[in-house]
Amino acid sequence: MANEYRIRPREAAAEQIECYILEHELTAHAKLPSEREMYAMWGINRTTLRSAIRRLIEEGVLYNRMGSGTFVSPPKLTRNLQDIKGFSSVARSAGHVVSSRMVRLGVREASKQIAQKMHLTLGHKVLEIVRVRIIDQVPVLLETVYLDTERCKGIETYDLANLSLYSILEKDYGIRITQGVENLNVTYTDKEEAELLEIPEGTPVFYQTGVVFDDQGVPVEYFKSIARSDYIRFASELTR
Amino acid sequence: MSGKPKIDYHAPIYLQLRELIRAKIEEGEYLPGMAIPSENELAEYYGINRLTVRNAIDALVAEGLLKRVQGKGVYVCVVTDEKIERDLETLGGFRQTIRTKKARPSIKILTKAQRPAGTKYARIFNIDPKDMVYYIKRLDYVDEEPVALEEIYLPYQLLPQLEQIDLSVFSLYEVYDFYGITLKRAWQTLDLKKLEPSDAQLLHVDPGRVVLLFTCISYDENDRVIEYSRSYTRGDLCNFTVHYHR
Repeated sequence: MANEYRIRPREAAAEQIECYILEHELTAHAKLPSEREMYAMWGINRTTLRSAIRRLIEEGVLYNRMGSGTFVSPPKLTRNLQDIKGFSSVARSAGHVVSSRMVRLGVREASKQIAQKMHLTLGHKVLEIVRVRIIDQVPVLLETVYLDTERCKGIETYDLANLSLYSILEKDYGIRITQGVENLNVTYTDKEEAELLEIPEGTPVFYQTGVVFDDQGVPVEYFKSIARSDYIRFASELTR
Repeated sequence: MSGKPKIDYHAPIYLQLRELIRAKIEEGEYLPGMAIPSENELAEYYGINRLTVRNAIDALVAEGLLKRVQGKGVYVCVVTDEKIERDLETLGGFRQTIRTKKARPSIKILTKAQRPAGTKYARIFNIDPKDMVYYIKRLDYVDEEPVALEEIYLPYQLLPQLEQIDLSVFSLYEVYDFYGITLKRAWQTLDLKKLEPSDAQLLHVDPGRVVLLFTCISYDENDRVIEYSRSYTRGDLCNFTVHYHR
């Protein structure tokens, strides 16, 4: 190729730092060398280093603690979208302490949107479950779930803040969830969402909606989630 | 006896030229992804009528061996038995749908250059930090509105002479085809990201807003990393849907 791309010094510095973390197998909350040490190792000037570190902080790779230095951020919780496992089992298998807080639990009549998604008639009674999911004491996900009250009679009596909805459905209601379709995009938190997730109003977050189906192809659940992008990342394995 | 009619000096000139171009493609003088000389150049060089040249080229375009690109020229393609548009969408995963109907996609290449892999990309591609990688930065448009800014890294050794290929004409999947590379799987992650002001401007995004950042590592059948890409995509213009089953 005729032209050679000149890597911007800040980019090179950021790549260097990312590599240092990998090569030295620095784990979550490990302290990064000081700017002076990095200068000695790589000869990158301080302004460039600072700007690279700032970028990595913005990308969530590093975090800063006033006066004590720069540290490696804990990895985000990765939710594989092909994985049918619920939020809590994914988080638990990644070694997190998971809990939930019930925000709202009650019966309402299906709106047009809920009715269409769940193949129900308008006004059909649905159970609305609104929970904040918490990992390691940080509220990361605000989830609203709708279930058909006729199919899930009495499910509101379970301890839904702590038990897995999918396993209750499977064990006690004989409903086996086998497939789903989800939509993902970005939104900005309103006042209530911001308060529940303990972040400023207007913070960009993931907005996820979806329907899951049983093995007969009947919709079981319609859900809407608001997920904090500083703690959660979505992933997908593509195969042929 | 079936088969190709024998072309000799009695044959019509357009047939002779057609077979000449075919031979040059087969022998590798004209490589996949490269433009062949213009109709005028061919007409002048061989001392034949331009319409005759056009006839020869039209025949090869009809066969799929050449591709005519409005305002650019005529490019060499590779004819394979199964011509599939290889898109990551066909691999499953995030399905991106543009919200507008009758969308006309186009690509603008902003940067296409080589750089040393450096420590980060050396690790990703399992090559030496001094080995070269291609760096491509491009804007994807739909109906003249930018929808995604992409940064793509490719290892030079696997795709030599990529510089000869016009990437606004051929998709990377077609290019991999030219090199006999088949993508087998990819690992894609999705984050939210605030763009640098200059990139936000390129993508017509308000600097205070975020975009969806898809990071994707693609592997071929031999488990070699072929491509590492970051795609900054506007959420206001696209939808992302995922289907999954047990």
